[in-house]
Amino acid sequence: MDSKSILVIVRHPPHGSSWVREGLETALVGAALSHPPTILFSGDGVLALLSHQQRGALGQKGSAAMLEGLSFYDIEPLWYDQRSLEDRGLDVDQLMSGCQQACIADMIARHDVVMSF
Amino acid sequence: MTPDTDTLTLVDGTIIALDSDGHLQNLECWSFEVAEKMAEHEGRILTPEHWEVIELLRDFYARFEMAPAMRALVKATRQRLGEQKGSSIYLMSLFPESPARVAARLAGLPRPTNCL
Amino acid sequence: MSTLHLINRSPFSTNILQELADAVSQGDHVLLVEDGVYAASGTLLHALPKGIELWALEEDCMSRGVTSSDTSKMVDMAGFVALTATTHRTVSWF
Repeated sequence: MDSKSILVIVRHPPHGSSWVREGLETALVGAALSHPPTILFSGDGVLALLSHQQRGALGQKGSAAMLEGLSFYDIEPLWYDQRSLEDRGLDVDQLMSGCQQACIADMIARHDVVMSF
Repeated sequence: MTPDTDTLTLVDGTIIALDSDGHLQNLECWSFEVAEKMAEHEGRILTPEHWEVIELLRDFYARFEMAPAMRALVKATRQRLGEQKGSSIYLMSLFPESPARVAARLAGLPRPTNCL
Repeated sequence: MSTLHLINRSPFSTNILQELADAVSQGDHVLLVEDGVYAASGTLLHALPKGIELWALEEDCMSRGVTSSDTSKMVDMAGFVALTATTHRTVSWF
């Protein structure tokens, strides 16, 4: 039997909490165990994709650097929900490279397991 | 200091503390000499082939803020050092047991994220 | 191949139902649990498209004094379990 397809949805913004990093680490576990999971950024999660992010004021790690490294785990592209982007007055040009537009309902329907962060 | 905590002593007398997994307690303490001492401590000898992987790992960590697990290490090695070296067999021959873990340790990186 | 969506936060303090509206497909189930049951009264659930089954967890409604709903049906803990078994996947919108 084929292994289950996994979708990781990131719905929280970076920096304010560790949700994004938790989601990324879950995706990395998935990649180590089997077929790389799909990762989708929706709601405030799209904010994690903004380019030009830096470390926190006290030097805390964000998640942008990790996101850039996901392609080494064959976790690509970085899918985003277009509506969430528009609602926040953002444009795909403001996102890091490797992002692609997705429809969240279709994404959910195409995967066996959905984990939300 | 707990009994299972090892230390390295550098030429100038500096004491470097390792954690229970043999990683540096303070990653900032890393230097070429520290890597040499760590390898010696683990009974390994570092050749230029080891060093090019260690350097690659340090660059990877500086850029992506995570230590690569095996899949990513192989891919990063292939990109930088070519097809022949970018294989798990080659990396296994350099860093027996678990290349991603051993090499990360010697490079002064934390444990790879979710390395199995 | 439907999905069970779990809402456990008050929709009055989050944007969750608007997010959910884009994420549901025809035939999906939405279950309100914990503070999510406050969506059972009021008109917020109207934001969801037609063709979605709406449920509220009876135990959480009772403890919060949420007694009736025009939009969602009550389901007890056993029914909750049954829903997870009849749907293909579960998504938590915490």
